[in-house]
Amino acid sequence: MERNYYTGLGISKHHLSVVQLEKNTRGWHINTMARRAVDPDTLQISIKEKPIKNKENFTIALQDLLKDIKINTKTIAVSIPNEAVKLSLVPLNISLMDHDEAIQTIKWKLRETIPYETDCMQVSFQKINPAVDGEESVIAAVVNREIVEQVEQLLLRKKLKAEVIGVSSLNHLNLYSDYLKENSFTMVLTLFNDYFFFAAFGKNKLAYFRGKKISPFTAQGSREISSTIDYYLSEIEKERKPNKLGISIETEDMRNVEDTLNKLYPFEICPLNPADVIPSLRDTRYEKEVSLYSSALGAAQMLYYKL
Amino acid sequence: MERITINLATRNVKKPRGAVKWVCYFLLLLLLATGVYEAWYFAEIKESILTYKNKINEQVREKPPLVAPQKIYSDKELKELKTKVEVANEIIIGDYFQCSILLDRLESSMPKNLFLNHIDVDLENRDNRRLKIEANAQNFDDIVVFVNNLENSDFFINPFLLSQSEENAIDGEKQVRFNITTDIPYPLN
Repeated sequence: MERNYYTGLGISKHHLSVVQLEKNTRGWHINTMARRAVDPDTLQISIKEKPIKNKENFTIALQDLLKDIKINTKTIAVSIPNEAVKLSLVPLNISLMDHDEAIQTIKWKLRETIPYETDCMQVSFQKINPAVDGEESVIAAVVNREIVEQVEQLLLRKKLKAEVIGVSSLNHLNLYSDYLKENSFTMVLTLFNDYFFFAAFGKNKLAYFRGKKISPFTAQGSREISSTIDYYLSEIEKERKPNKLGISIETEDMRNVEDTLNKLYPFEICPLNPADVIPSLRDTRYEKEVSLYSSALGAAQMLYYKL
Repeated sequence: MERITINLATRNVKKPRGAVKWVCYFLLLLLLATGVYEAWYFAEIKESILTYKNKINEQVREKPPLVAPQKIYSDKELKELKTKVEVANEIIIGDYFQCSILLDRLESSMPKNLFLNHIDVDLENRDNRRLKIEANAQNFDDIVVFVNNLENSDFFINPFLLSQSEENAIDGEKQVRFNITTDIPYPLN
């Protein structure tokens, strides 16, 4: 039974969302999904502090959420907020070192930018397509291990094993991975309530990214976004002409960023929706709200792809 | 676009990586196969041992009893052999003990300054044993005392002084070498 079901839990500052995907011969289907607001003092999204300030509130919210839907899996993939994770582009000669050496080197290189000891760092990384020829680089995610352990332990109380813990913005990229490739997108902008993440690809691999904790729907947020895109176009991708930017939005704030960007840039700007990758959602009542589950959906798919 | 494989789950709940998982499965399978093979191998060895054991038992059962090689002796040879065996048996069974009796008796008959050189027992005569004694004494008186002692004993029969001769010892003193024959009872008691 469990074999074809994949459950993802998305944690954001104001909500917990759970989605269960089913994979069969006809593709992906949503088996069930639910979302629940948490009290404002429950979660504290910070790179340093444990995100769950009030464990009891979190457990109650999770309990209520799981009560609403029937989860028939024992493993779960969790999407933790971007603000809790330090994502960095680290130049690293990864081909010359083994996994443990790479982890130690990343910790050493990032020690100045992380507000806690290297011993407390939980690190995961992936080689990316170098933006500058000849220079090997990795995308490194660093999180305070206490944060991860806290989430894992609280889920274990509910007899759920967090097999994968990913980062919201990266889960968005994973969710649309095949779609972006098939439709020749070279850039993706992911928007959350208080965070934006811009990523660009070269040769089907991540080549550049930037994330910032700022509301993308404010004037300052818009300026940050356009500065990021401008920097990428002028400094990194100056020789190639980008053709498509996808926008993935995981927020209820529906102010139209798409129009703003359309006015600024000559390339095509397309909104992304989970229905693009889960066609069974098309023309259903879930189609609009399902974008709020994008992180959880991306996380759930990670279980299938054994990431 | 290539998927991002970032996974921040701690090791205690992470699933083993694909390769590791398959290596584990392979090792488990190998262990199982080795166990099965070894069980089969030892069963084979056990069966072989039993087969050989049965074969050996059958061969032992079928083998004729050992027979001493046949040799034909003449009557004379048989008689001589029989005598030798009897004498040997007598020596083995009793004579080593009886010799000590003989020496005890001799010692008790010997005067102080008399030394035995040689004793010979004639084993040919079955009824009596003839004892030949060669000894040295400091003077003839000691020889007389010795012969008298032998005669007076209830052990020695018919002691007889065969010969005597005076000679010089290494230290220059005179001494008398003499030979005595006497019969002794058989068996000794």
